[in-house]
Amino acid sequence: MPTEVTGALELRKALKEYAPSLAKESQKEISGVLRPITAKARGFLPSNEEAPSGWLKREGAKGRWANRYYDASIARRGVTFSASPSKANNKGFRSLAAIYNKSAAGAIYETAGRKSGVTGNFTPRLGGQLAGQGQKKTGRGIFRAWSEDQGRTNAAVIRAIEHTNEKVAALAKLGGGRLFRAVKAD
Amino acid sequence: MAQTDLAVRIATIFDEAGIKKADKAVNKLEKSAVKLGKSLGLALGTVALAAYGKKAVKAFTEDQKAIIKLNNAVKNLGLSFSQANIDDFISKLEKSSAIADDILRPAFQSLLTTTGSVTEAQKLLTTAIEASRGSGYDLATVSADLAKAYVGNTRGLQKYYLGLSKAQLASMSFEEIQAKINKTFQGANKAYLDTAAGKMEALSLATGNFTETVGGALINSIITLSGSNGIEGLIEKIDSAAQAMVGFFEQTERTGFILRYTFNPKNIFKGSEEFQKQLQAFTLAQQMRGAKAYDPANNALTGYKVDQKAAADAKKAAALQAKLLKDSLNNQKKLSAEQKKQAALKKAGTLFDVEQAGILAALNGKISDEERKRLELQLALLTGNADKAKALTYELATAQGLGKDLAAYLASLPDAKNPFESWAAYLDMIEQQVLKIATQAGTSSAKTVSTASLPPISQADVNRILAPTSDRGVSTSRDYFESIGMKASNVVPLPTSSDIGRLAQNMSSGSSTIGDYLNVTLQIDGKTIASALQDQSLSGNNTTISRTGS
Repeated sequence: MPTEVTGALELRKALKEYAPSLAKESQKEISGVLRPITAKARGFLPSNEEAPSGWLKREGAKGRWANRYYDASIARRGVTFSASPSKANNKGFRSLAAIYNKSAAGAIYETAGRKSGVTGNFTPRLGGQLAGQGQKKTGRGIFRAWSEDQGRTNAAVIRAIEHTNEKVAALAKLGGGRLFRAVKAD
Repeated sequence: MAQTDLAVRIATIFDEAGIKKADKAVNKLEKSAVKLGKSLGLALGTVALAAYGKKAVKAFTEDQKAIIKLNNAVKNLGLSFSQANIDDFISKLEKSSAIADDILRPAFQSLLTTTGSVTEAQKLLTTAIEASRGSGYDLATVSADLAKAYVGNTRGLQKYYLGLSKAQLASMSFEEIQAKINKTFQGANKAYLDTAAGKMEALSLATGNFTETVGGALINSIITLSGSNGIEGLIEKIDSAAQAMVGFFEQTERTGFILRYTFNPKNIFKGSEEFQKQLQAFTLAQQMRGAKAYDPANNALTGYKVDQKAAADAKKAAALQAKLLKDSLNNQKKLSAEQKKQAALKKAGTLFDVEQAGILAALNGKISDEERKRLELQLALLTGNADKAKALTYELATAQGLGKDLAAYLASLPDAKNPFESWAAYLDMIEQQVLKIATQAGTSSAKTVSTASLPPISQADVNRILAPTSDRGVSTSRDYFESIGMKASNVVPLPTSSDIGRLAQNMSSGSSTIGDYLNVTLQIDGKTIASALQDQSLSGNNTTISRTGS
């Protein structure tokens, strides 16, 4: 269940315009919350030794399969996070933070078998564990980490935003509106 | 690295700004589209209205043309008093037949000018409409065909398949033909109007009439708006307006000249006289614009020589043409007179022609039909009557000459060569061969072989003859000959031992030969020999012929 935070976007916009330092601080706080879960998700990705041998990079491979291989370093590098708001999707929703699995091989490892089951010659050899809620939010990497996190990170992110809000409120009360005298940021 | 959209999204919020923006954009687009639609509708509507107005005026003028043509024809036929009747008839017929009046009027006109009777033309037009609907030909064609048939030319009616031959059409009166057409195509128009196509045509006609009416109204409104008295007044006003426009432009040009002159610093100290002079020159130039340019070879001073020469040439050409025409007429007259003279002379010459007189005398005598024809032919040849001469020649040739010649020719024809002539000898030869073979087979002619010429019998022959009969499996000479494939008719006992001994003794003493003791009769089976010969002569594969049925 996605958490909806009302007014967070306006707060962030206001921070970026009138208190850029506080905005950065807020972003850093969120990043600090997201970093552990991202690291945990990276840990779920198999090493090259653990991955199916036929999926690894082969020397002298040509054609379309020359670049379609699993490399643990690339896949792990692809698991990242973003502490800044995303663009709105076609339904108008934006996320204030997100954890991504950007690499193609990482995405395959993440999602293989979540629709048709762990069958055939490839998917059972991947290992790992599909975890999550519903088909669209089940996976072996980031979704598993998110599932095992039990909503702690989500709560931490919201708390970080609230914390920023509290800081803004405190500064405003303390400084008598000094905060909003700041020059508009570039 | 290829980017995927696989992500865990945290703290999602609904940002309605984008949606509002999109809604706003859509609304704006919708409003723009509506506005554009209205503008386009107005523009297109104006264009369509203008086009319709043009079409309406055109339709009205076309209809007016047809009306004027028919009215003029009616007037020329001296039937002006029937004008109202005709208009009423056309109007009613247009409604009942769903054919436009601008089609009916020319058709009626053609029938009216042919018949000269309004009533007759009305009847024929009604018939033509039925025939047109029934046959599929357009009304103008049917009317033209009926008009031709009215004056005796029925060839055009053949295409309507009335069930009448060319001769029948030619022999029938027009009333009979009209009755036949009416019978054939009766009710065709009503049946057509009941169809969807007919209804559409009726609707189209109504629309067309509406257009014509609108066109008339438009023209009338233009006349009324202009304050003119009829179309002639409108034309006069248009001409006046054109003249006024020309005057306006000339005046504007003059004003421009005055302004240019006035504001030209060079003219400041020239005075009003100079201004008047310049203005007069400019006005004169305006008036002279478009006038005939000065031609040194053709002007008042030279007496317009070129024009005079052209006029003189034209006069000369006309005179020459008139002279040629006159000469031609005179020549024609002379030729006619000469022909008449020659004919008279020829006629007179016949009176003194001895040969002709002889023939005429002979014709008066008692002669046979053949002789009469011959004489008539001679006379026709003498008088130059080619048609009669040709006919008589044919008759004579048919009656006598040609029949006899044909018979003579046929009689003189040689016998046709018999293609099987050579077969007779061949078949005879085959018959002889067959007979010969059959005789040999049937009679089995016995031939006696003389042994006198046989060589003396040797000891080996004796031994062979004396060989035990049991070894050969024969007991008689007949059996023996049969065993070697020959037939013997008489049974001859084989010689005994004593016979052989005596024979040997005699032979050795030279007193006797084997022929003294042995007469061999050979009976030849001709059929077997013929079969053997046939087998030898034949080659190829066997053919099996089976008889089927009884």
